[in-house]
Amino acid sequence: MGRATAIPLALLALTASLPFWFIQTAFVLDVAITTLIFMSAAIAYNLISGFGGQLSFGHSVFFGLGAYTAALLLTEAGISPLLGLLAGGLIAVLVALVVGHATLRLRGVYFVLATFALTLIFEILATHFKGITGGDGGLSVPFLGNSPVNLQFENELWLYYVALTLVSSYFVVSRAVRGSRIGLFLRAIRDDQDAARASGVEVTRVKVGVLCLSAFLTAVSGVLYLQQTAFVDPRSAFGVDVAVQIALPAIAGGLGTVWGPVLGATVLIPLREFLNASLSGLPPGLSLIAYACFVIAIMLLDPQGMEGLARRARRRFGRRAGQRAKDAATSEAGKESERAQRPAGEGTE
Amino acid sequence: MQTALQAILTGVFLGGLYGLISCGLSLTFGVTRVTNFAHGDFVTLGMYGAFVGQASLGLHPLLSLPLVAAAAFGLGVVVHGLLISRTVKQNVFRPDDTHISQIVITFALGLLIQNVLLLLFSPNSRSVTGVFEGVLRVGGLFVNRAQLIAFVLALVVFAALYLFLNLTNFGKAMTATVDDGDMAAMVGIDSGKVYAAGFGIGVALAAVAGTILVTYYPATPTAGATFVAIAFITVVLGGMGNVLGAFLAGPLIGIAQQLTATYVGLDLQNVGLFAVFLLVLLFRPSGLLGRRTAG
Repeated sequence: MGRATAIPLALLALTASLPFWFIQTAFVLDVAITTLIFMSAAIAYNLISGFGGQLSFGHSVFFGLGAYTAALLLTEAGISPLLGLLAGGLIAVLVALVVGHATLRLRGVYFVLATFALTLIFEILATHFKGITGGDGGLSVPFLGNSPVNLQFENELWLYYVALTLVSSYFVVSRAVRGSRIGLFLRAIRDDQDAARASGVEVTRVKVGVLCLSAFLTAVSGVLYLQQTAFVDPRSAFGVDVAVQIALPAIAGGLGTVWGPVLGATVLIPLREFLNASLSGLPPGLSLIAYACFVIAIMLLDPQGMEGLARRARRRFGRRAGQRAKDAATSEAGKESERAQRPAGEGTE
Repeated sequence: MQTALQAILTGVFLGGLYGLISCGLSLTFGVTRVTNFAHGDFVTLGMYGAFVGQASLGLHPLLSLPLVAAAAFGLGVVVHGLLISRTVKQNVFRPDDTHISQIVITFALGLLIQNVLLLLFSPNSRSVTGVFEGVLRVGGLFVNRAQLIAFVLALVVFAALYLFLNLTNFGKAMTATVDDGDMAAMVGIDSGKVYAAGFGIGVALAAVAGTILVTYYPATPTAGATFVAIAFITVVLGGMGNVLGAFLAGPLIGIAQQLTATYVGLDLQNVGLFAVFLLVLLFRPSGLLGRRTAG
């Protein structure tokens, strides 16, 4: 088993063991579940915005469509969220097709502008059509007792493991996409769209296709979020706040890397949740001020986010290790190992 | 017919300020190539500037206006110097990565402004009252006095900007940078100065629009989100980086918004704008004037 398999598996085992020694209160469990759900959304987001370089500030559209579809199907027709997530995902894909065809064939900032506007529009629409969505009052999902078929659990711990399963499968998908032909196309498009097109990559089709995949997975994350909160309203489903919760972990963590969204969500989501809770005695706004400053600082330090910073730290550490080796051994071998280490550390993930 | 005319008239008057906000955004984009997601929040800052001017200093919004404009210009130059210009020097593998960090930084900056305002002024809405009140009646049509004055002020400010860009040397240098930044730098234009000033003027235009806007639209910490979305749509309609186009597109957007409000539903007025946006992207992505395309 190589490092590429061993490290994720070790982390998975560690995360799975957390409830037994680290997560002791219901509040921490709640934060942990939220973190995992938004981590999954960030991984889905990273497919199009990271690998594809098409920044979006409106992934809440897909997230919210998933949540609303599942909520409506359960409350109106008694259909399980397990089917609801398929339906929600498909509706998200339809919206992605329309937006993608309108904006992804263009270059520049049109896509990010369109997604940003779209999420504001969906918030307005969800507020307007009260008959369907319950308007501002939102929709509450009734608790039907402990039924795994409806993704409802007496014990929240089950939801934690469902969310962990989701994150793990998204991680596998993310890796598979990066390693596939499509992943190669995406990177080619991001680096030089003209060259990619000239080499025969069907640029728009690849971008729209990956956007659809990203939208589907984000919608499924939205369905799971609904299972946690049992409530959805226009602000918690669509809107800029949710878009930020999805996009910033991926961006600050490191766009275009497999580990970036995982790292970003692990740091940012608990940061925001704990700041919210611990500062609750203080006036509102402080937690997001801290959050925004943190993100600006990260982006100024390294546009590749935390993953970029970590890579730089590793490289420096590697160099220092090389230095030590050189000091220890006066022979040429020490210098040789230093030289050998540098290009190895230089390699980009 | 009367209703339609009323909607169009109101749309044109509201659209003056949309145009002013948008030409600031378009200028910033044209000069620095930065998509400023905090632009709407600079509008909000202008709104609160006029509110504070009236509430604590007893200043008429028209007197606050030059103060707010100067402060906003300074703020824009500082933001550009502290945050934006650093991203340009970032050592990145792909040129697009600076573009991403700029968008993210302006977005986070907007979040910062919103929450600082929330901390200082609470989420309650604030308004400037007692100025430009009343409704005029022309024929069978109604004109809100505040909106009429806002429209005239927007025209005056835009005219000043237009003259500055076309008659002064520095303005011409800025226009040249919009047309071709590399070429402009090559013939000796100090691009650092032009970038900082371009960003500053863009921010100042947003804040000036805010000071006028607050006479008929209450200020809340998150009011900017709506305006930045409207501004993006207007800028694309006018052609990205095209300052005149953005200003002219403002009233069109105002009309589209008011017609939707009248015939579809008041709360859906901004949904109509998005329909316009998608249509423009599908059929005229280079904007109605179509002089330049982005990217």
